[in-house]
Order: sequence, then C-alpha cells, then structure tokens
Amino acid sequence: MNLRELVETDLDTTLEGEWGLPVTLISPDGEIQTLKKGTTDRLTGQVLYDTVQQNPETGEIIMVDNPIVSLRRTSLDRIPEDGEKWVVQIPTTPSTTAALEDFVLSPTKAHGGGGSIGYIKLYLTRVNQS
Amino acid sequence: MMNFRTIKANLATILNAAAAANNYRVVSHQLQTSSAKEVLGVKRRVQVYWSGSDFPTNKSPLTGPVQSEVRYTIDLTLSAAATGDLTAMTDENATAGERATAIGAFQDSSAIADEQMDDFFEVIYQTLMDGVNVDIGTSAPYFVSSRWIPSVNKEKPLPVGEYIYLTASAEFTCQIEEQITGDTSGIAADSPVFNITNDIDGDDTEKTGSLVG
Repeated sequence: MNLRELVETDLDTTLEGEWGLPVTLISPDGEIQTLKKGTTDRLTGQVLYDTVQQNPETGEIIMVDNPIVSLRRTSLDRIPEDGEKWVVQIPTTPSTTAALEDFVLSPTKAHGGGGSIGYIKLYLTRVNQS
Repeated sequence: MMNFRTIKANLATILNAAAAANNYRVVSHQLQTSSAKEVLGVKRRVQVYWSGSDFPTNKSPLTGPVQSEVRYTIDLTLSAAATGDLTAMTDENATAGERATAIGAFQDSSAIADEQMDDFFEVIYQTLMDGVNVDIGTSAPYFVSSRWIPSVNKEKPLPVGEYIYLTASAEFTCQIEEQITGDTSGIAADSPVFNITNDIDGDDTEKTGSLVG
C-alpha cells in the first residue's frame, strides 16, 4: 500500500478512533448524516474547542472558544464546500454522551486543510435560536 | 485634580446614563484581555480613556490657566453569533425540506455584528454630541469648549472561534483649561510646626502652652 494511502487508512484511528467525538452534519439541503458513509458506525471526528486569539487590528488578547472539527473525507456522504451553509452538531465537552450543540460553518474562513492525506477541517461559529 | 481627569470621568458618567437603555456597558480604562463571550449580543462594551493632550505655548499666558487640547479614545467592542430557527434541526419529524428552508434563512454572524456596530456608534455619537452634553457634565464656571468627534474607524470583522468579534475606535476631542496648582501632596499645610502643652498638676482646665505655626 502506498504510504499516503496508509496514512489515510490510519485516520480511522487518529481521527475516528478513541480520540473521536460524535459529530452530526446537516447539509444545506437538509440531509442529516450521523453515521459514517456506508456503515452503521457513528460519525466521529476530532473536536478541538478552546484557544486564545489576538486581535491583529488592536493587539488585544481575546479569550474565546474556537471549535475546529476534523473529519475523514471518505466517511462523509458529501464534502462541505466553501460558502455553503451547513449545520454541524458537536459536543462542547469531552464526552461521547454529551448533548450536541449547534454550530454553522464559519462564513469568513475557508474550510480545508489536510486534503493531501484525506481529512477536512471545519471552522465553526455558534448559531443561536432567533 | 486636573480637568482632563474630570472630563474623562464625566464622559463615563454620560455614557453610563444611556447604557442600560441601549444594551452596552462602560469601562473607563484600557483592558488588556477580554472574552468574546463577555461582549456578545446585548453586552456591547464601550471603553473611554484619556489618550493624550497638547499644550500649545501660544495659547497660554506666562501665569494663569494653561490651555489644553485633549484627546480621548472611545473603543467600541461587540461580538455576535449567527442566528436562525434551530427547532427544525432537533425536530425528528421535520423533513429535509423544512431543515433546508431553516438553514437557508440563517443570518450570518458577520452581518449581525456589522449592523450592531453601526447602531452602537450611532448611539454613542448621539449621546456625546447631544446638546445637553455640550459642557460634558461640568458646571459653571465652565472650562471646556469645542467638544468634537473628528473620526471613527470600524475594523474588519474578526472570526474569533465561535463568534465574530468587531471593534471600532473613535476619537473625542475638546479644549479645556488647566490650573497650575503645584504638587502639594504630602504637605500638611495647616499642621503647626510646634505644638507644646504644659500640664500643671492639680489644674485640669487652665493649661498653658504655645502654638507656633
């Protein structure tokens, strides 16, 4: 097996294995994905949820939760495209049984990264009930 | 206390008076860090602080009050989340079409933040430039004139994590006069240098002594 293919295969462990947390995707056309593509396994990915950022305009340090979800591309029914409105439901605490909270793809940050080894990074912003 | 400090305190007081009705809070010093969540939505924040003064020599006499042109910075900060109807996302009976309609109607957080900042600056500008605040809360004899907001700059929306963070910075200027009183701190001017009392045995009321000041 080619090494790139081997790395992609390893995502089953590195992204979706014991580090993985459940993720639900709702596409712009309303389709819900809760299971890995073509399987009965729960869709999982790596969910990172806190960071510190600096405002480049003012230099001010801003404390903020920064949810980033990494998913294996071959586990997705459909790959999110930039500019699309997707709802992404993730746990905000490190527990596989925690309630999932609603986020949308960031409108100001392109998705991607990791394409060469088969995963996609999604940058999320919170969505509140109107 | 010099008058530029009085003006700063009065600016905070004027802004505070309108804060509750317009969903913001006032901080009268420069913050080093903040949380995006603490300025979310209706918790907008305005910081007002003294940022500098000019003391033109050609506008002041050799003795007497000094004329000063004072600058204050007014920083506006807010953050916003996207909004939308989430009930269709959790309703098991909702159809894909209903979810798609709800998602399509989501309002972007950057659009919300942009609109909120426009409203925020309007509130601050109208409050400070209101005719009733022409003397910036000072009482007669007035020592302030020419209050003005010469500029405001709105920064680009910053996607910080789960929120959009947006700042704007305005300058507030005015002309004041400052009295030169000298630094008298630490000097107890009314304290006598010598304070001597002679107690006489058996005489509790008639005491002799000297006070030299």
